[in-house]
Amino acid sequence: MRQFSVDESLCIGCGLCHERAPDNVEIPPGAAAARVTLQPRTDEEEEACEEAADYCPTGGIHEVSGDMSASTPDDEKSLAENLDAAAS
Amino acid sequence: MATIEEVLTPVRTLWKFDYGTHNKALRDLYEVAKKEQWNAATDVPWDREIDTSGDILDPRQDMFQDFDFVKALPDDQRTELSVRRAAWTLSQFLHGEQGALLCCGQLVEVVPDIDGKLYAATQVVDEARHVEVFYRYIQRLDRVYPIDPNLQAVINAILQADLWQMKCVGMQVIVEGLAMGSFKIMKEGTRDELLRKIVELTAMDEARHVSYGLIYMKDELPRMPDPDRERVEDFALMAVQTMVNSGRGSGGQSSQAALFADLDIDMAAAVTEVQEKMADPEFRAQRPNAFRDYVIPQLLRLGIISDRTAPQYREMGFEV
Ligand code: SF4
Ligand SMILES: [Fe+2]
Ligand SMILES: [Fe+2]
Repeated sequence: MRQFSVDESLCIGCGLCHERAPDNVEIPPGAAAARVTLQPRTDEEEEACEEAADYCPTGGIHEVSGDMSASTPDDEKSLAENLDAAAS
Repeated sequence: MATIEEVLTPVRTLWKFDYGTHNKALRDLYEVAKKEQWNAATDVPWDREIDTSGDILDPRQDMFQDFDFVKALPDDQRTELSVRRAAWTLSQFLHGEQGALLCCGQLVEVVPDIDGKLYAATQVVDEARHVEVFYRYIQRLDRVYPIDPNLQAVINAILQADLWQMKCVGMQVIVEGLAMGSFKIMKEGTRDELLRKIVELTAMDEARHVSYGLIYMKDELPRMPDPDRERVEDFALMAVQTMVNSGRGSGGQSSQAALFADLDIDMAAAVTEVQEKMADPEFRAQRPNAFRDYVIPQLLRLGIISDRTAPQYREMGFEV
């Protein structure tokens, strides 16, 4: 599955990306820029993220490879498990 | 400045009798535009005084603040020049907003799809609102200054272009992209809360206008016959060259002459300093640049900067 991120220095906070990919891209409350809050998990979400990138008037949404800025539920679970392990 | 000027335009108006949705992305943008309308009369805090005690424009954006002849002015004159300079800059946006109003009125007529026509109709209302809001603000600040000749030349070229794709790239991607980027820079730099609110609201509309150009042209440009696409590439280059040269002083400064009236400035020395600094790539590189950051990347994204035209963009200092 392809992964995406937002270049916050370019983002103008217009929210058009969220219109296209509401499950994956958001402007967190109080923030000036959008964030990929959840990387796509399905083909539909991947397509929505691609459309969000097309919609973005600043070219601020990029496909990324390697490290991701947003976490997935699996990442969160694994982080929690590791923290648990470290604490025990 | 004459209050009315005539431009003869060869508009090829298209009816469309298939009212169904063929470009869903554009139709969705039309829905967003309907939701996001605001009222320049009631959604702007007009009861706030304009704060002229600090910088109205972003000091990084307003290169004047780095000129020695400006730094040498007494405080009261420097403040006066800063207010006039802000009014001059915002006047260019006001005229640009009217230009956008005229151009997107044409888009309603010339684009071939019903989705494109409906969306462009919402933009007509957006631009009317922008004319209203900037005129009201500038009147309170100082006065409306005449349009820069290079800006007017570009807008007239867009109005007179025979291909609708030239109008779409020229207005929606280049002029709108420049406005959107400039409003972002202004929003971050102004110390006046009233202006901040105005440019914040306006930039949200301009974002849709740029998005329309990008979505439409992404599908359209690859479909065009090569000779027509090359004409769009050349048109984009002409528009960028004219506006970049305007910013570097080939026409912009002459339209700014009124800013310096009654101030203690040695005009000959000031002109020499401006010419020297504007020719210095390092001086220009230090400041935010809406062309570099918001227009050129979108032209690259659409493939409008081709191998054929790239060298001329490089001559202007853009990394393409
Ligand atoms: S569409 Fe682009 S500019 Fe607008 S909020 Fe999303 S990332 Fe930012
Ligand atoms: Fe506008
Ligand atoms: Fe606009």
